[in-house]
Amino acid sequence: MKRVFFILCCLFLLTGCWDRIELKEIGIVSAIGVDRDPDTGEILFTSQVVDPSGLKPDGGGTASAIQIESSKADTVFKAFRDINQEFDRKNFYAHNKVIIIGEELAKEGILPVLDGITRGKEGRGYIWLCVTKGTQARDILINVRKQGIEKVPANSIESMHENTELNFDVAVIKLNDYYKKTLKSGIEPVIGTLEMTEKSTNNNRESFGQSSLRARLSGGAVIKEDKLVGFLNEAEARGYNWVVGEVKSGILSIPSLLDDKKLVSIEIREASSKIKPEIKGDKISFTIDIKSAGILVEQQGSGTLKTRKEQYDYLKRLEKELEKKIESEVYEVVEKAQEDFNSDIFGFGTRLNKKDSKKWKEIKEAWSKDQFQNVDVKVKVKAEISARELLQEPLKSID
Amino acid sequence: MFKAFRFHPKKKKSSVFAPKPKDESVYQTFGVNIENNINTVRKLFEINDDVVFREFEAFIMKPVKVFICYFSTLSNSDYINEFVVKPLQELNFKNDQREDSIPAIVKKNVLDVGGISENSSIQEVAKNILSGKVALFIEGSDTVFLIEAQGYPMRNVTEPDTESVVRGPREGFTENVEVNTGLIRRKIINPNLFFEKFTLGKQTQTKIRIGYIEGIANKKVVQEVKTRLRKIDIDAILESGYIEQLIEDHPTSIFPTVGNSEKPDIIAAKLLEGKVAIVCDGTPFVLTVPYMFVENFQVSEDYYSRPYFASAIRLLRLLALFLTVTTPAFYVALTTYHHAMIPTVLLNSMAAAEEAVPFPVLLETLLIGTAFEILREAGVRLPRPVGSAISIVGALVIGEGAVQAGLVSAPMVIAMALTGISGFIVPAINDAVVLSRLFFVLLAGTLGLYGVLIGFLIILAHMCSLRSFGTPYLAPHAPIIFREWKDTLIRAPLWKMDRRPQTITWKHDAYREGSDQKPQPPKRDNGSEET
Repeated sequence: MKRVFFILCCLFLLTGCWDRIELKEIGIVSAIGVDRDPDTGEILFTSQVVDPSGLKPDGGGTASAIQIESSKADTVFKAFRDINQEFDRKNFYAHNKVIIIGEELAKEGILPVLDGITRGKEGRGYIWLCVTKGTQARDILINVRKQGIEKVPANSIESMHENTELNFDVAVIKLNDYYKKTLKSGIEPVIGTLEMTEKSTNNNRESFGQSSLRARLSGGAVIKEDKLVGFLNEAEARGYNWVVGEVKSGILSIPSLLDDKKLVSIEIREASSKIKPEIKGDKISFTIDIKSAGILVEQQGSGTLKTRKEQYDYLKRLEKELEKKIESEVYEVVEKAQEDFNSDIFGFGTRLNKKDSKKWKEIKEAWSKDQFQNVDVKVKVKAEISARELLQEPLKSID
Repeated sequence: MFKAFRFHPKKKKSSVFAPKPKDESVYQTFGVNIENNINTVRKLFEINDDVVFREFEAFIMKPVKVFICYFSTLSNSDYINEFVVKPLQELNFKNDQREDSIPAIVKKNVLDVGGISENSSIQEVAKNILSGKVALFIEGSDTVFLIEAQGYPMRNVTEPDTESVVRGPREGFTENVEVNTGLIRRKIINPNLFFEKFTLGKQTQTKIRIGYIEGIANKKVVQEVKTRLRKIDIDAILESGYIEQLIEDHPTSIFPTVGNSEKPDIIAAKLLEGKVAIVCDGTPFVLTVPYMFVENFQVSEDYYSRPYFASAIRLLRLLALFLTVTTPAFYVALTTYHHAMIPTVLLNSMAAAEEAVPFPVLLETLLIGTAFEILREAGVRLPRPVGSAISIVGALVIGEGAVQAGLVSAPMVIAMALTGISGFIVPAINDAVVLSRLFFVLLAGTLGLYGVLIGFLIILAHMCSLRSFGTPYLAPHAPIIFREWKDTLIRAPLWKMDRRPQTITWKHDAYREGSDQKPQPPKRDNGSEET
């Protein structure tokens, strides 16, 4: 018994407690931004730390729920630590939601920046990664403060990323997927892009004297060999999403065939894509098969479709329009990826590897140099518009 | 090294506590001379105020001097006057067998009472008088008649406070062993239900009965109970808890290995499973052995209501046990070591609540935990009318006030309230729960979740090592007896539980119900006369 007591004493008094940190001692970091300081060329590290007193259910409304802390150093990790020279809490990164990398730094390479953040730290893999367009990550973090309903702005940014389920105009990526795609041969990532826009409309927020600059997710950023090479606009990002099968839902508008200059909105409900490589001798070509189904949700034009037959034919014609629209968007982005960026963002290489790994090994080296640029790409789209019961005539005013 | 500080060398336990009779007269027997006998008795009890001595003449063939002695506080005086004194004084009996001695006639023809025994040892007679019997001395005889005439204040059979039910019998045991035995006998009408008598406690002479059903209970268990009871050598048995502590298998464990109940239906059910009951005079708590851990989750109402909800409630009880033991520990571990495991939104609001609290979370937990136990204990001990004051102090001062003052955080109070309330769901092992909760909190505060895991392993290994009268404490889960899981985490329908528990009876095929007990509408029979 004496021995057991002795062992228990050792257990409690000699070990334990070494990594004990009270909640009051940590600063919960919700978003981090890394930039290259344009003046000094140092790394500018910015973290958005939650200030819990701003989150109290009573009386927390006035205080800000976050604080922005920046520091400069030669390396990312040094900048990490340097924050503590002017900040009281130990920063805690496990609840970080988003990593924003400045455009200039992204052009130099993203992996070296991530290394300092993820190596041996509490950081997680399923957080969002994005780059800025035409601005500094620090400015985004500062300006996003009064945006959205969430008290912690990082949650707003996170939700903006998650909203891509409803909206396929942007491409976003999680940290783990970025690693997967960038380290794999035959595929390159497209990552989310944050830009600053100025709201010109005079809405309520501005009348309260708040910033009119707002952060906005737009398009996507094309990476080649871990370096930022350019940006996709929204239509191109949509085309990209069609090819990689990332479309979950979204709205496309196509001309209403009933009335000139009027449009119909189609909500895409299902979409899938297949990339089929074809090898004929030395010539490699790819066929992108896209299947999609949607419903008609808005009809601007007026006109009457009397019989069932007419309705059916009308939908068939709309489907053709939809197919044409998707096709053109996809062709556009494929062209841009091949010619402007020469970056295999669609994963043609990995497809080819799966189909014929011998061939892939032969051309692997040359793939990102000139092979990808020169493959033929065909796009086949099959679109379906269902939900005929919604095909009522719109209301019309009778003069 | 500790020996140097021991001032008193260990004494061999002497028999000082077992007082030897001062004079030999106690072992003597009564003589034929009634005057001497009367003097002996008078000498024994004279000093008491409540003793009744009565000498009078009875007429049995001839005038005979008789003497009765009893305690007016223990015996029923009216009954004695009516059925002992009156028949002796009246001459209305018939006896044709002239050769019978006077005591024999008294016993056979005169007395109108139920229980009569004879004894002539002075000590035995004194003991019987003290337990409420009347001693009747007859001139010219050395045997003393001891007549049952107990009459002392008794509590009625009422609904017990501890095990109240919505559905089920309301009666509960009283402090009287006779009443309690009767309550059990009323439930099981079976000649094989035996109640064996023991008298324990050298000063208190407490009446103990062990009850079991011959043929169902395991003979070895019954034998073991008797052996352990015989070993008890103590001055007083004031409550069945004394017996429990002197016969349990693991006196150093925090887990009880002897069960108790205040309700006859529960005891009857346990007897029918093959357990042994120990009924002790002076307390409404009847003990049962062997006792297993699952019995904490088995409530009599589970069997009286339909099985589906009963099963759900069983699982809820298990959850409550888990919560009450580990909630504070998990809170401490997560907030001091594993911040990454808390969902972000929750972490933010917990951090907001924790912001103003001046203590570390471990200390905070211990503080509020101690406060809760103090409140609980005060609530139990306080007289009923003052009881509501406790809830006001508890709810307002400790709960609201402490949070407002920033001494403890609101999530902590919520966690502790959940812990406390959950603890009441399995009241039988509340003491073990409170101690293990403290153990877990300390482990969590020093080693984090790793410590909680170690704690689980220690407690589990300890529980696996326990036995109660030969039955493993965690049976039927360790060792695994799948057939008996029907009555553990879930409560199977009655028509499914067709065999008696093997863990208790140690028998494989002890059926307690016929086959095909599942009720169903009658099948249509072509040749029947039913329309």
